[in-house]
Amino acid sequence: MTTRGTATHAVYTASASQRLADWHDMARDLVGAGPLAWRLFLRDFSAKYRQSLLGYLWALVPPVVTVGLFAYLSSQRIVNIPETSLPYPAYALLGMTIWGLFSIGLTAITSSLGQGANLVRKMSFPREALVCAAFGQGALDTLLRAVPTVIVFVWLGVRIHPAALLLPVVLVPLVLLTVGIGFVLSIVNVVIRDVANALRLVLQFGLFLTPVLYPPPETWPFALITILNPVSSFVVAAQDIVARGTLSMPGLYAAWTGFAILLFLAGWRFFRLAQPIIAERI
Amino acid sequence: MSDAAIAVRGLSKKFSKTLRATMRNGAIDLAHTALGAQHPRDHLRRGEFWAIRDLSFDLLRGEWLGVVGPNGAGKSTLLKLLSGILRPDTGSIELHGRVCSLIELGAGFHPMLSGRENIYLQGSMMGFARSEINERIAAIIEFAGIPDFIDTPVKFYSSGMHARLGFSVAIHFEPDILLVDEVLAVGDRSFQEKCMRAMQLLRSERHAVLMVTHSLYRVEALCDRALWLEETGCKMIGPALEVVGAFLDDQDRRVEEETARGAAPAAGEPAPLILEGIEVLADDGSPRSTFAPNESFTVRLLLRAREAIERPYFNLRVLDRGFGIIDASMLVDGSPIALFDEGPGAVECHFPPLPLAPRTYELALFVRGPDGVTPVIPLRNIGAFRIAGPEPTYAALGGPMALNLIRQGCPLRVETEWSFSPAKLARGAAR
Repeated sequence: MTTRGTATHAVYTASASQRLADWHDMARDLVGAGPLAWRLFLRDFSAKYRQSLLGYLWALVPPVVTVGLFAYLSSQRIVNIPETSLPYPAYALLGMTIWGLFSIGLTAITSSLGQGANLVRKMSFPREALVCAAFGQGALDTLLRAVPTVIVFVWLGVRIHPAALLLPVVLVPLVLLTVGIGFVLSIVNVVIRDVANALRLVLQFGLFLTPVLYPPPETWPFALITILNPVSSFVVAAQDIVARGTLSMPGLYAAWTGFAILLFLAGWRFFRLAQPIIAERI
Repeated sequence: MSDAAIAVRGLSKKFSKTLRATMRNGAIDLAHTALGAQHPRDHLRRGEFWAIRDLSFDLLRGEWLGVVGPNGAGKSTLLKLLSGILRPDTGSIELHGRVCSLIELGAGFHPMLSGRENIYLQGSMMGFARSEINERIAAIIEFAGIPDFIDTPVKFYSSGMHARLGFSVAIHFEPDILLVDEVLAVGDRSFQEKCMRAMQLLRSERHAVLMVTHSLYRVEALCDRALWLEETGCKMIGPALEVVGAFLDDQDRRVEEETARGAAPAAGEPAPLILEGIEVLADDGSPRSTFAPNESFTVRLLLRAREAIERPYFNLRVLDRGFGIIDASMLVDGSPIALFDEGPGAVECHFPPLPLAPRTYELALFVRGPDGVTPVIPLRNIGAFRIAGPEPTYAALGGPMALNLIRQGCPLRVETEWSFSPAKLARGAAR
């Protein structure tokens, strides 16, 4: 449907084609968007904290404050948190890091097209690059937030399972889920600006509906939090792999992984097909 | 069709008029898309209008096409469609060759990044690899002429520097098809000339250029063909000189029609003096709109004063396509009006025979108070008249070149006497 840059032939038509062969074009464009996404990522990275003294230290503040608060409330018995699979601060920081990958990534992707409106209005380039670059920012934030997590693990002398090295693999479905939802929300947010605001609210509640600051509940009906919330299953899987080296709920993990893959493909497809609609509305 | 760089067929594009309509129609379209339904896009829904309707044309390799038309005719929309930013609602666009759109110079620049970083960013957006950008970066910086500031954040650039760098990046990636939108209006004159030279260098068999501009002179001077867009669609496409000529005639006609309808005073203007009508009179006192060259005429202004005005100074200006060529001023000739009493009154200005070239001229009026400074009626165009007559024959020239001379000639034509002195005599005269 779209070709550009070094390409020397392009056809623009009214109808977005629905053929199966388009998946090939989509894949080609996504790969082609890679260098640009990297360039945009570098742009945001170097521009963001250029006129700031503390720079990326700002990214570390929120998780440390949240976990510190909960650790304090828990030690004072103000809130009652059951025994967790890892010492509480380590457990909560790990959970916050994984949750951050989802929430920060999704927030960044959702506003990516709107924030790049100036570019989208004036230049022709694969829009996927904006989405990928935005997720890159989210992932980088997550990595930075992982630094205090690692420090706490070392400091508390937490023993982790060697299988924890597989953590990045375990998190792949979470990435697909995040980008899949992001593809859809970024488009809808261009037409209806309420989306970004609503998302902030949903994510705020979502944090408490995910076993991040407390262990996965096992009693009915609270166990539904783990079962019906796809993010929960991935967070639990990450905690499992670090603490025990095995998944406590492999079936659930597999089911939600399948769902994440389908959602990613559908979201990506929607992103492609909806582009003609947003071009003039951004 | 093998040598067509751009082939446009039945192209239409519609927009929503309001944000509300944008949201509603956009949400409906998104829902359609999500359900996998093809929504019909060839009719208008509530709150929509056609920006471009059923447009077809070809642009051949090596050809320069100028797009002219009034504001709101869809010229910029056409460029955005051709550059792939907007998608057609009906019809198709085929592009054969690498497209470079100079729609807004340096549009992708990020203010916090340096000029150098922005070159890489812009290059990537145009689809080039790092190595390809590396090969060209020296030439880009050189052409932009800002080597000392290339590592300065772009937000500290002047708008001229910004545009220079933007143009330089765009032009250095060997485009086959150039889409130009009035970009040369930015930057100083020497930069504009530099841009034009760079574009002229591209003028080879391979390149096709489509330029949108209000500078009809540029279209005539540079383009082979021109496309005249109106709100209703494509009005005319053909040789640049013919299309520009027809477009100019049409604009003149519109101005004349407005005069015929009578000068419309600006609404709600609490001016002490109101212009209610204007007539251009021939020597026999009859109002006319067309005169012969060297025919004297009188401009009669029908006015109404809301209050008594002491010694107003009237000034009339004759304009040729926006440029003033003749001033008639009571500040020079003296004001015959000691007091303009409340109520109606007519002011007449008699022009002597003028050697005006055949075309349409506009009239502008401004009236000042007794101090000669305070505006009573601020400067504005109030009407037009036409000079019609035989065009001079350009002895050795025929065809389009003669047409060009007539159109671009100065508005004042006088008969002059020419003589020639042989070399010896000329030397003697110089001594």
